[in-house]
Amino acid sequence: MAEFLIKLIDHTHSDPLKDSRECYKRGDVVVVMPDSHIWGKEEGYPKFLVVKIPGMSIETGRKYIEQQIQGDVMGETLDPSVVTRCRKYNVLLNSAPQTMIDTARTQGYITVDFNSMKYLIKNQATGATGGD
Amino acid sequence: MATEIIKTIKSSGGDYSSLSGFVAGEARDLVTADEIAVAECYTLSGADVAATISGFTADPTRYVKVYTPAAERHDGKWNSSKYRIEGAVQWGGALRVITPHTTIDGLQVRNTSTGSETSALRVDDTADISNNILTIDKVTAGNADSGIFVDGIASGATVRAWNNIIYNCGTGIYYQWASASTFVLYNNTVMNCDQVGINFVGSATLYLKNNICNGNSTDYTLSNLASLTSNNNISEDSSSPDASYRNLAVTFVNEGSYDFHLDSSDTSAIDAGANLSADGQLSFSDDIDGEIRSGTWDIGADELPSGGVTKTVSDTAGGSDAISQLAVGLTMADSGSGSDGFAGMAADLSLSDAGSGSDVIAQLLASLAVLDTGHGDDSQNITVSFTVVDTGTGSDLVNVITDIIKTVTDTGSGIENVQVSPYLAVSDTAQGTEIVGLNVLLSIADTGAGSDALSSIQTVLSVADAGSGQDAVPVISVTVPVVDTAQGLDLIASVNAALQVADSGSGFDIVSASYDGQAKKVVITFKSKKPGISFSGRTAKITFASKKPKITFH
Repeated sequence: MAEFLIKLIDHTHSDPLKDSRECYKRGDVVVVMPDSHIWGKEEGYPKFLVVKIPGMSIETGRKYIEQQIQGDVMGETLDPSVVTRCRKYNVLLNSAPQTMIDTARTQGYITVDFNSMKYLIKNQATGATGGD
Repeated sequence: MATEIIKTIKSSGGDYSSLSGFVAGEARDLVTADEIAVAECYTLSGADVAATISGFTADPTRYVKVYTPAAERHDGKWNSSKYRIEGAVQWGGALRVITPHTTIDGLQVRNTSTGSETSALRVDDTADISNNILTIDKVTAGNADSGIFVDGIASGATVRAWNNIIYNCGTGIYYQWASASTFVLYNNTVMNCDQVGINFVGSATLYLKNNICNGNSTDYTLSNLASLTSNNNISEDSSSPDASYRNLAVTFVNEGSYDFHLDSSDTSAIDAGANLSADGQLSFSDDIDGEIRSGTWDIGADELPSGGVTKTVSDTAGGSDAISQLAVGLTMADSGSGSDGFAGMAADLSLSDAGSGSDVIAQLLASLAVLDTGHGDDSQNITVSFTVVDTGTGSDLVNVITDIIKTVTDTGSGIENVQVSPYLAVSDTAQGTEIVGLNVLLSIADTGAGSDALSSIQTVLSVADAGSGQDAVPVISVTVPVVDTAQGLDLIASVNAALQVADSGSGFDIVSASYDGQAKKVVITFKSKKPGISFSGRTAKITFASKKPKITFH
């Protein structure tokens, strides 16, 4: 089982370029850790949401912590050393059932099947949802 | 002064469980908040994952600091039992620093990717990089597969890197035709890189001093620079910018196992460096192990200790710190027949506190031992020095300063000459309320047949209080046992213990005195011909618990 640490609130920067490129946003998967990982005292509500996904390997899960680089978006000049977003994938928490957020708030985490969650995962470079 | 906000990264019980979590949870405008964001990294159950320091607003005095406390830090050689970052990241670094003015101190970083531009540490802006061990996993690495990659750096940035060990990369430190920036590279050790040790080509301003590059395909490639200031840089080939330091192979403790501490047999780097303690670009005076560089400096990240160990903790920040133990242990075992001279077996532990926080120092501890079972006539000089200087306003607790044992055990037949001298000092000029305990135990046991001379056994414990706080010094004690069960004729020139309490502060202090339970008496001796006790208060009283108290004048 993999466990996702997901940012719950937007971080902002006064410089618009740094804001878009360097700041974690609501729904970004910050790290993926193995089952039974012990999270830190700050790694929970209200800053973060911990999502446990049974059956997902760490290797599969870590796809969702890839940074978005220049060239990921169609038409951009390729420069893979330039990070254009902290994370390429974003979990659309605003589209998630409120019960999911409420459970995480009261329990400290939620456990979900990936098939029921992947429709919430958006590839921000392509705009596609579904976790691919 | 900016306030340090410390967050711990631990396997359990910490604020965060990864450096990435710290960045995501703590990124903010440090300038407006007037804060320093500190990531204090503890040993995790495995390696920490790759991380990027970004999203903070920082300036030279409000910045991000990522560091390992001494107990969580490598010992100058890669250590998988200490905090480390390992990640497979191409086109970047296993640790990438984007936020300017970030400091990275005492980390181990490895990039395990086999892709392109795989660096251990990628730096995009002004940063201080010290005391790190950096490497990558690629079997055959290209130019940009670097220990420190600074090729995409912001124009006008300044990167200072010192006391780092970098090995098995494509290039140790890589810059090529990037923005005009300034680089200060001092006392780094760069080993066994497939391409170049230190590669700087383009419009950089480069200060290059006291570096070792050995075993790289080419040790230095330096060209088209805006300016180059260099001295004392060693190359194994002929590429060093400093002619006198070319074609020198440095001898390390064990290069095969990546132990790049200087071997004592080395003749190239030891005592061949420039003293940079007052350098205008970057001044420092320790090495990758935290040991003080003294005398003529060694070249590279390591300073070979000259028979002793020095550890210094300097606290100038506002946070409240806990130092569970500042310890050093040295053992010299002599079972050979030769006559040896241990000129300096020393430990120097120093704590300087100018910060406003309330600190807890659980223990300062030194243990130095000489075990002599050999037949030679030996000479030993053992010294321990502890110093705590408190000029901060916080109320500090120094539980125990224990010069715990300096043991000389002599079961050999040789004639020994031993000097043992500890020195413990607490200087309090600050306003806080301090609690300090001092203990010394010196032990000399002689069961050998030789005639020994113990020329000096001395201890000095000093508490100087010029601060206004109300202090408690619960214990000042010295024990110096000399046990001689052997047949030799021994000469013990002097056994001295001096305890000094100098109190010129305005606070109300409590010094608890001990009582001799065996003799059942307290003896106060006045050396003056006119001894006296004066009371400045209007009412003064001496109370005797005994029904028949006696004061004797001789």
